[in-house]
Amino acid sequence: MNCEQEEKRILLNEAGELSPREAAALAAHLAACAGCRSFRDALRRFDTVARTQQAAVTFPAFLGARVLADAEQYRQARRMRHQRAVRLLARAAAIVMLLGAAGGAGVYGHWQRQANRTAEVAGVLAVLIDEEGTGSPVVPGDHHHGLAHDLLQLEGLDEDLSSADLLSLADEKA
Amino acid sequence: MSIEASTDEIRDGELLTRYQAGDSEALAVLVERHSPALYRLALTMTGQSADANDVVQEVWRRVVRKSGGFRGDSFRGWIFRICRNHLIDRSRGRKPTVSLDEGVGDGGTTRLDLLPGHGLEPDAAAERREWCAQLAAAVDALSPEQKEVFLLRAEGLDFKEIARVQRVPLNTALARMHYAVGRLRKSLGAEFATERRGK
Ligand SMILES: [Zn+2]
Repeated sequence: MNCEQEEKRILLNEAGELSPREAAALAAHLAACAGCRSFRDALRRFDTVARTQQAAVTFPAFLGARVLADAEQYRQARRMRHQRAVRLLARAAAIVMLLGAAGGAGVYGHWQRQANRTAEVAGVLAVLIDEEGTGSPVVPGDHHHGLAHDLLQLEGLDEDLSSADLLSLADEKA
Repeated sequence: MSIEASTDEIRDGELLTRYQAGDSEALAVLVERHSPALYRLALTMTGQSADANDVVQEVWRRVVRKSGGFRGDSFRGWIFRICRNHLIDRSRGRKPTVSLDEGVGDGGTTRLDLLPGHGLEPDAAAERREWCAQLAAAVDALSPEQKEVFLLRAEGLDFKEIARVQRVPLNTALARMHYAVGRLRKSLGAEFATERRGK
């Protein structure tokens, strides 16, 4: 018999992870092996003391409140970013519609696929958010770069707001 | 909040789903349910109550931001894994020091005060505390992986969960605990020494 294997079975058995058949085989071994009984007894004593020590640790009451306040702050910040994205996309989608199927939708789809650089997105935004609404080519300015940066940040920093989310929001508003 | 049943009966996964749907009280239940165990683990691993506070807070920050990353096996296992990853991140470049005399609570309690012995006759209590102090020191001398397995077991995790927390095969988690018990027995002297094997 291999006592090292039996001792590992003792560990599993104490955690309730042994099948009834394996537990019975272990019990038979324990009845005949003082060494493994000694291992089990030591383990139980360690467990008892460790659990007693853990039970004596007081969880600081203020900590739970601090955790929840932090979560609430994050939720509100996220909601604000979300609302901002909705506003931006609603505006972009409306302009896409104004531009018509010919060029606008293509540009918008291109942005969704290629939105990996601020400059590119700024270029697309310059067309989409053309202040005069003429639809004619516009050179992207600081304003567009800023918006593009914000949009990319939204995509990159907020795991919960994926490209798919952005697209579905745009669909919703279009 | 729309929790009608006793909150004890609501499973972690269900609470997380409710939280994701906007029910912040569901998060409060999860925090209340799991923070004490996270705190105990962090306290033992870092040795400082202020550090343990930071660790618990950071674990929940990560839970809140990555709640979509939970894949529905064991929420407890998941947050312990986050806790473990964070402890590893923190421990890079610093060595935790643990002193039994150091304060762990807000009321000036020390690790020594937490050792069992309350309610015993002074001599027996002193002996018990002495022994418990030895065990605490011996646990502290284990490798971080072995110490983790020892502590997670004491928190009631089974080996399947511990293996997931440590991202190792079940046999590795078992071997770590087996080795830890061997080392503790050796450290704690004759009373726990390995007896002659029955053949
Ligand atoms: Zn044996």
